[in-house]
Amino acid sequence: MNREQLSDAIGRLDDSIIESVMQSTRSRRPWWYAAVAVAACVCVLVGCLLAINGGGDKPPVEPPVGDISTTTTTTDTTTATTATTTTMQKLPSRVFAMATPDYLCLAQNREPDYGSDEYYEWQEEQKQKREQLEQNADGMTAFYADTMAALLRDGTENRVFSPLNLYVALSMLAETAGGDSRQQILNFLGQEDLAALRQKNKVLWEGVCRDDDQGVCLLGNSLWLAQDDRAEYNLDTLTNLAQQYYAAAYRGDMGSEDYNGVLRGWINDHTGGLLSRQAESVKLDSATALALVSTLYFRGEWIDEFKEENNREGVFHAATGDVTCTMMYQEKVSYVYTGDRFTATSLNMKNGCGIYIFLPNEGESVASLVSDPQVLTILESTKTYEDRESVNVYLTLPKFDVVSDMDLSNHLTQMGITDVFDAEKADFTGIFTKQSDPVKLDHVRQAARVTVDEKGVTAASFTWMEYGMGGPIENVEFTVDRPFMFAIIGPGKTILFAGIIENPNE
Amino acid sequence: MDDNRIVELYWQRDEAAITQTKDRYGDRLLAVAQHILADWTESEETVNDTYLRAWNTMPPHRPVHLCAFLSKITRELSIDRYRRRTAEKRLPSQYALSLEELGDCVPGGRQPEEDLDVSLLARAIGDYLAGLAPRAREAFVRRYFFAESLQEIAAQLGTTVPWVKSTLHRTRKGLRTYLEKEGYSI
Repeated sequence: MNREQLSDAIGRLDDSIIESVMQSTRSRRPWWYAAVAVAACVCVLVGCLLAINGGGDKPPVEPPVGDISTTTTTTDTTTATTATTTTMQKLPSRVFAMATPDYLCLAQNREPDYGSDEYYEWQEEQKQKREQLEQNADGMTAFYADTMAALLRDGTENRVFSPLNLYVALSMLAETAGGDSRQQILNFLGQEDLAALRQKNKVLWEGVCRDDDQGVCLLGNSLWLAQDDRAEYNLDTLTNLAQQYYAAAYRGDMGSEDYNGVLRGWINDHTGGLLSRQAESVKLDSATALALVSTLYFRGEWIDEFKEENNREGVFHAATGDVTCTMMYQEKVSYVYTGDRFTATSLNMKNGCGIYIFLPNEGESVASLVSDPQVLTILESTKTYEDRESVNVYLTLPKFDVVSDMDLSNHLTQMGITDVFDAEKADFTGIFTKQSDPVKLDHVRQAARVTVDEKGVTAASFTWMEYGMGGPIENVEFTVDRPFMFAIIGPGKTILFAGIIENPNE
Repeated sequence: MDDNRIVELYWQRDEAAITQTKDRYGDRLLAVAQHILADWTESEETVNDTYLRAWNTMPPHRPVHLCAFLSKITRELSIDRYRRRTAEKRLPSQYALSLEELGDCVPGGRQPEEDLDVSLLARAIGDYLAGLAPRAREAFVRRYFFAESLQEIAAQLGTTVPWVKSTLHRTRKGLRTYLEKEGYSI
């Protein structure tokens, strides 16, 4: 007997057994009721709205969720855990899962027992993935710089977004577009063609995804297709998205509560429930022809945890006036980076990732740091940054939990991606082989949340760096008591999250 | 339209049978094919072939469980297509993953292939599944008949991926032992 014969025999199981499974119905509570700790980010490209009757009498369309552009620092203790370890959402009868990758299979980075043969193979594999990520960094630096400048510079409130999440979402958008629409996106992503873009995304997936005792970093992509016949999808593109981007695909009745429920559940499942409030406003309506959702979920624990007993109430000098907030405190040997307009330090996590904290000099605006070349140099490669020294850092850092929900349409338009938003110019021949009416991207939105506390931070995998110490070291006070910028760095210098904290209490 | 009525349409050689089947089960069958083939074009073709075979089979066949009947056809046609692909072109579908896992169930020793009666083996597997807890049975059928992903199964059962994984592992081990007792090894 072999596996194939066994599979054939399973194919001949009695019809009643098969039927009982198909008719099985069970109800359950959404898994995120019991969720625990972390941070996540979801970037939603909901749209490609079909204008019914060729743009004539259009059905009433709900205000686009992308109109929302808010950032808050939450005070609740909403917690979450990785979707794969929590109860999943059940599909209603009229919604079909066409492809659902097991993201855990892509994140089998669990470290084998030290010293075993598997350990050395695993170590070599990890090294190769890191090298591949770094070798494939072309175009990423410019993308990071452009998006951070566009999305973080202006504003008086806390703001955070995920460059990596946006990159993956736009890559999927490029696959669905054609002609100039696609070229504009490729230009923005710094890639020559789709082949290069696919290779980049493949390396990102394989290099970044991780889920083990040291932390979690999981990307997720999905396509939401309509069941009606107003549009026909390019099956080759669907196959490419499934294979190259590990995109799950669902089909259902656009506008139905069932389908919207599955969509929100999927977002919650893949963001650890951290953005459930933002997910509530995501919806597919009857005019939606297609939606793409891309997620990034992640968790990392400090190598050196902050001790709660060291916390104290401290003054944070926000732009709007002094506020009192909970400050964490620790002493540690670390690098301090000095720039013309800032001082920076980093905190490392067990999963090899790190968070960089950039504190502007007195009198400098924190917003000016987002396009400071020295900041980008540090984020790109700390080793090559000259003005750094290893010192004993007395670090005082506010706890924070920041949530952003941004409409990115205008930002993307300003950065050169224009055609996809214009029904007359938008070319989506990549995904549609037939469409009854003009299609355009309705809106692009990103919601993100980053939580930093005594235990850890939202984080991602990163090339593990050994900190060498040599000679006598100096003591430095690093008190983060005024608006600051942070960036969470994953493997291969990927910037997973970047943000500005104006007021930790907001 | 209910299943009995659709089957009746087949027997009356009414082409509306195909339309009704497509409306009622088209997406479900497409999902079955997609899980095995991981290729949308081939999956759609396979579902169309399913309708054709259903048309040619009814009459004389009169299935009691139409959905299961159609799913079996789609599954068989999809696996045939999958096997016709060259090794390099076999995509990493859920079926491929589930097939790997079934290696756990193959009893030790070799049994000459010509001696194996797949129908009898199917009955033995059915008997084994009948003794399982309903949720474990459902997880097994979803994984190895429908080739659903672990996440999908967890969703359908309202449970977690690790639960599905460990349940499937135990079921495979149990099936192996059962088959060995039934003489499926030399």
